Amino acid sequence: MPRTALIVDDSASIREMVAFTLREAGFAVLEGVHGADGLEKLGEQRVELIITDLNMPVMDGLTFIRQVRTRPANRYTPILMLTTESQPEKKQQGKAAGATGWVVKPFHPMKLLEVIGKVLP
Amino acid sequence: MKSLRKLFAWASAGKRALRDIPGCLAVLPVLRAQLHETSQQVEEAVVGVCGNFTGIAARARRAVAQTAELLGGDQQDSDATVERSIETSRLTIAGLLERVERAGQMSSLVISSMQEIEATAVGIESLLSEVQRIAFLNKIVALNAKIEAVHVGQLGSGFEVVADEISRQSARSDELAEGIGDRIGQMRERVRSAAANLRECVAQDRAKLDESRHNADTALTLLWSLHQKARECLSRMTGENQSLADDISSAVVALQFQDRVKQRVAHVMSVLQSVEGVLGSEVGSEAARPERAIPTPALVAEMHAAYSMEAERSVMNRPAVQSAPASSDMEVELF
Repeated sequence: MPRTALIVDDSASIREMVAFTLREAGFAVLEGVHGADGLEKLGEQRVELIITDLNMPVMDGLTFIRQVRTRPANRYTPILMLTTESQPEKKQQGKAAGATGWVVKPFHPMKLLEVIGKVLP
Repeated sequence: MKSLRKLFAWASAGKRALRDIPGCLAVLPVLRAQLHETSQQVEEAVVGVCGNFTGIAARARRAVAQTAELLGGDQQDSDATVERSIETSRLTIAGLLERVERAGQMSSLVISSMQEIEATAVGIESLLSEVQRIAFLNKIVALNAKIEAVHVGQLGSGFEVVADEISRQSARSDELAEGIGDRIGQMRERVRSAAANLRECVAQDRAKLDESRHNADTALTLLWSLHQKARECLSRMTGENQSLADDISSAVVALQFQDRVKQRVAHVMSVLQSVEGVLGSEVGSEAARPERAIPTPALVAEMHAAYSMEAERSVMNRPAVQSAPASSDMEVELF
């Protein structure tokens, strides 16, 4: 049974690239185009990893993370922020919202998998 | 007077600029639409390329898997299996050939035994000749005894009967010796013929055995060579697949420029829209105020707030022509 990851990003190309990287590593992948869509896709699914962008329309990454953390099933699910933003204060906001880690784009597929290996139980 | 002329020229220029603003404003939405459409098209192209990566990676993986399957599963296991199979075949064939060779040696021993039987038969024939010679001598003795018995007359009649019996027994011995000699002769002929056939078979088997050994060695050597080539091929394919994966990873990193460009274009479009609004309201309400600089502080603040990349922010803080150094390291921070 493959592990499932949820990717939330308003950029179709980034979703495609992250999905490609994760599928190559054996993950099943769910995709959301913004935070609200991500929550909908999450539904009652069992997800072992979430990767989300910060700046998105409808619902941004920070709000999405806060919402995810209110769900008992996802309280400890690793959540990586994958964003072009690298300001320390933004990172602090991400950490406060419940993110597990912060990865600045552009990402390298192998390095992203290394980071995922570190945060997955 | 000179200052007045300058002021007049400046006012005329301002008036002309103000007259041109509506035309420029009409162009701005088109420019934004162009930027938006271009950005979308680039994104679609990049998504398409990523889709191709998936196909390329899957095909490469499939090719390696099929080659590995041809060799019998996992590369290390298959190496062990094929090499072991070749070695087993070599040992089996060597065992078979050894058995055939041993059978040949046994046949040679049988031929020797047959030759000994033949020699023994010759000895028996010689002894039979001696028996026949003795029978002949007995016959002569019997004949002499009979002559002597005749000479003696009535007194020798009993002796004559004995002489006749000895003569009869000698004839019988001669007949038996001749019969035995015939049968031994037949047996000797059969043994000689069988030995000759067996000798021919052994000679043929030996020639075939050498040929079979040569063929088996050639076939196994070829099989070994093919296996080595297949293993090298698999190893090369695995290496190439790894290179392909590295190339794809690099391409994925490079293609993310599109996401950055898209974000920056979106920010530019957003500010262009704001500029458009400001200028539109200025032109619509009253004459342009040339002393009002654009972008206004509010627009600068809006721009700054919208920016999501250090690269964007740094553009605001450096001379326009200077470009920022690109970083190749992926920034990661785990909380």
